[in-house]
Amino acid sequence: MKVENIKMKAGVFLVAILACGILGIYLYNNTGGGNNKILNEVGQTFLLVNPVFAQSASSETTFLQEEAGLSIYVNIGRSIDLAVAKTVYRTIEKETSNYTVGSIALPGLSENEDVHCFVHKDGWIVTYYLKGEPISKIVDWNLWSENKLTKNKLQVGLEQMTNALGVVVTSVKYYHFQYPNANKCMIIIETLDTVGEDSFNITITSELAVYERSWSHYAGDTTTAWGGTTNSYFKIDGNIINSISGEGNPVTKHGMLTVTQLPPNMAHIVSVYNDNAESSKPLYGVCIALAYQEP
Amino acid sequence: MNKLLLICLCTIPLLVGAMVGLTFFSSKAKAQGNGIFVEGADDVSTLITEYSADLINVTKDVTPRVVLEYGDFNSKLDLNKSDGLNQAASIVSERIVVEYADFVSTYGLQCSENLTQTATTVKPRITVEYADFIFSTDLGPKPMEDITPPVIGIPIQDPPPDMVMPYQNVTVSVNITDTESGVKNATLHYNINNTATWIDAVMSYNSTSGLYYSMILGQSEETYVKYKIVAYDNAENMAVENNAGQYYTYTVIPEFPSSLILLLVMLLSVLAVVLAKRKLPRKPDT
Repeated sequence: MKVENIKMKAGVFLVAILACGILGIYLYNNTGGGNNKILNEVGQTFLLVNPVFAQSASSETTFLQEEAGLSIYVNIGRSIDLAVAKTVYRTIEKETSNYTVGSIALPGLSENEDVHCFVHKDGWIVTYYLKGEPISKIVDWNLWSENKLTKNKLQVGLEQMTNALGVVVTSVKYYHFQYPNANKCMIIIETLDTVGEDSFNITITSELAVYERSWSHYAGDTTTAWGGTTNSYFKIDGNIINSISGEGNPVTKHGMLTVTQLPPNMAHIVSVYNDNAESSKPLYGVCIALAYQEP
Repeated sequence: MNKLLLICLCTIPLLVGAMVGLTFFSSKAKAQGNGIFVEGADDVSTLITEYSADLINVTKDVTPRVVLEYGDFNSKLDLNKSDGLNQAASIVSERIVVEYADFVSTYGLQCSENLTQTATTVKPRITVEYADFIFSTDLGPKPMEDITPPVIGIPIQDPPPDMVMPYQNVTVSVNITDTESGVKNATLHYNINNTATWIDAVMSYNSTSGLYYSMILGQSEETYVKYKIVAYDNAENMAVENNAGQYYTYTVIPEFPSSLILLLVMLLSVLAVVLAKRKLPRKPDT
């Protein structure tokens, strides 16, 4: 009887040890003690994939670099139906599967004042004037109200596109493709609503790299009731840069200034002149636009 | 005799279990809590706030000043300088001055980062006087130019930090996205035992899971491993995920975790006792 008990106990003990060993091996394998099964299963399927837009973005920015000057842009944060965008254009200038380009007519302005618009299906809208056109062209004198410029032409063009797309844009950015190193743009306006001359002074330090000096000159009326003509002048330091005389009502002109016309490190007087005492549209104005790099 | 045997049968495994537990469990347990290794002062991870020496010097010397610019009309620049700013301010010159304009637009820009040195770091400002209205804007960045770095998620480690066995490879997977130019590449950088050398492991994209994967090679017992993930997008913007500077960490634990051994011994003891008690014939009452 004693021998049987001893045998039985020894058997129980061995069984317990065996069970312990099996359990240990089982747990060891399941806690990752051996080679990792997940890695073995998925390790051979790895791929590197670039998004489609990343591969094609450069060609589109290249297009804008070749085409555009001063631009205003936004990404509306969602995809754009290019068919809707095309309805805004006066003229469709370019079409691809990714983007469209066209001109947008501005209210009350002639066709040569149209802004250009680039719309990408990924949400980008870029409204711009062409490379070589002066920055001052963005000034729409019709939008001068209560002693301020309420909008500019690029903003109006962008607004037309976003309205058509049903989005409200709250923040836009500017960029000048012709001057990639320019990081600032400034517009200075002087107006006159009587007979006479008004001016402002400007000094540009030579420490700034100025990429563009341009101007815009507006004359509301340079004719008289008797069919005569009057004059409006845009002057820098007394020198007439542009004159408008009997050319229609109203008239806007713009152009570039040379460095010698507006050299740095000198105080300059920029003025607008009007001698029409009979004008029914008594607004005359001049604008100086600068693109420059601030260190 | 039977009682004595039964007692022995119960106590010996318990004793063995207790010894094993005391030997291994007490020390190894420290290395198993969320990968935070707290044994030894040199290995304790702490939050590091980095200050540049220059910045400290600057902030000591800079005192508040008032700049008045761009009033509705007839506004003028007024620079009240502290003693610390005297030298710098004397070198600051006006960049563009516009007077008597009906409509002028500009920004006042004064963003000195290191005024204690010289005015070389003082950005130019534009001062406009006697203006009715001012318009100025920054130019840039270029449209469709991505300036936003990729977004790196929280990495998933397999096996988890407290279960890495000796010489067991560790897989790290993470979600990385870049909505503008797209993710160009991602790299897992890991470090062994706080040495100066970081090992780079390129992360591979799995289109099925949408995650980036890489592997840390198996290390010997007690090895302390920390890692971070660096990703670039196609516009070369860089993003780093390093757990707020503390890195993701783990320590390789012994092949058989002592806690498991202790648990098994205890279970075994109980099992043996139960079985033994059931099978033992009762002594007849005399």
